[in-house]
Amino acid sequence: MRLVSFAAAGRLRAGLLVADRVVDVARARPGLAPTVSRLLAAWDDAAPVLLELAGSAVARDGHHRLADVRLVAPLAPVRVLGTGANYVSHQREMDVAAPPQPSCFLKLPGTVAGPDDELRLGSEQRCVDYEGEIAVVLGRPARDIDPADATDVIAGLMLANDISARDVPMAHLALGKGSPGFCPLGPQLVTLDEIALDDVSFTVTVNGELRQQAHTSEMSHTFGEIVASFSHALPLDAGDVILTGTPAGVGVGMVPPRFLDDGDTVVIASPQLGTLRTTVSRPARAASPVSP
Amino acid sequence: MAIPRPEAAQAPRLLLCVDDNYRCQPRPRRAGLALTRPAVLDGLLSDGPLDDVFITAADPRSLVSEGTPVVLPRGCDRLDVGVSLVARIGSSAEGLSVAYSVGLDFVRRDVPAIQPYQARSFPTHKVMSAVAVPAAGFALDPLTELVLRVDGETRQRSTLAQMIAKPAELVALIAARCELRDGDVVFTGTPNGTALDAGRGWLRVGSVVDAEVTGLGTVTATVCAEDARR
Repeated sequence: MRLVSFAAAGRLRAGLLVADRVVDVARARPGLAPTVSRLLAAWDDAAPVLLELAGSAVARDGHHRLADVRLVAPLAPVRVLGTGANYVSHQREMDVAAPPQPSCFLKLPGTVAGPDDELRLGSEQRCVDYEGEIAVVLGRPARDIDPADATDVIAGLMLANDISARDVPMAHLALGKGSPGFCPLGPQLVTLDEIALDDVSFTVTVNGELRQQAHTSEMSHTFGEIVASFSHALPLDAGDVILTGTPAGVGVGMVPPRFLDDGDTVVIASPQLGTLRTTVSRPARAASPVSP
Repeated sequence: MAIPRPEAAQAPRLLLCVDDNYRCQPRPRRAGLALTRPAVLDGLLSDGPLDDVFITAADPRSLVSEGTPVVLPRGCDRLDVGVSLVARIGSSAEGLSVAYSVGLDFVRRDVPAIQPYQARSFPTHKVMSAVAVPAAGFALDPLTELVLRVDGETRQRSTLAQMIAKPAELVALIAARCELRDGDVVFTGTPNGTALDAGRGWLRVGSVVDAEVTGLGTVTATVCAEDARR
């Protein structure tokens, strides 16, 4: 299944994407929750109904044409975690060792953006970089699980851009990855019935120029190993999102470094997960930082 | 016991913790950071005066109010704690405002120091006193004392004179990069005297921790075991 979120009559709605049609799931099956986050909170009950709906006549006809709705991030996660240096190519590019265990950081609240959203940079943000990634979305809580059991708690995958300011001290990493709009997600959450976790690929282009290209086989830690490792340190929840690392080709790895600027378009594309596009703007006069 | 966790709607939107912010505090994180900072970033960093003050995000739902038992996670044999001046972000007609509370900042030292989010984010590991004193009513006197006791033994006793980045500087630094809103919370660091500094005195089930900041009051917590069920 391919789940999307869209705005209709001023409200966030969960949609099922079938070809070029979007089914409003709560309209088609009134017992279902109206948002993807709430569907994930009751995933064991919702998933079978969604599967049935996906094969129904309603799904074939749809409620909306995809071209007529504005997609937003597939869910509004309470928590977005990330791991770093998880592709061998990126480890070489940054001259860092493979982490023995997946590293873990938090993308701050307020960073999540949707597909096709604009990233507005302040005048002082001069070293902002893209990181194309695959995001895992949990459909069940997890605590102390084994990697082999991770498929029981993963609802699906989507694309993510772990946007990062490179001129922020390492001691302030949370801030460097935490500006508003620094975590575009989407365009769709693809559930496990439709995807193999060990066979996902994606590319990243900036203004049409290929920058990153990767396959899940190049990851140091698999999705299952990341989820299991995180679950040993903390209880994880349904609806949590985990960004699983970026491959080589980030702007800071180039000589000289090439950072995002006004007018740039970053496109993360995957045959399995769709296309996540972010356009960068830099208003002529950026708002001043808030003073305490 | 089952892990107490506030609903997301009841938790602050943003919870940040500061480390390496007292001159008297040993700085174990610097070595780890030096090892993990890629050389390609060197030319981009300005080496500002607050660059070594460590600002990390903790899970907002790790924050609980006084009276909630603090959970010792399964398998954790090095649970530590420090007293912290807590800056609570509010809003006023002039913009952001700050009020202060007393905080207990529990940290898992069994988690590698390069994993600060995981070390600081276990549910119940941030405790904050209910009393919030507006900044206008609380002078940041250098002689203001911070004290932490574990089972009656004094572990930390320091003053704000040792604090490197003051709350207003921290708030400005954070707000320059991130969106701060009413209800967000910043634990501004802890002085020396933690179990990590001493190499002993890890918290156990039944440990009673109390902290005091002159002029702000006290906060107390008791450590309990995590439910054995998965």
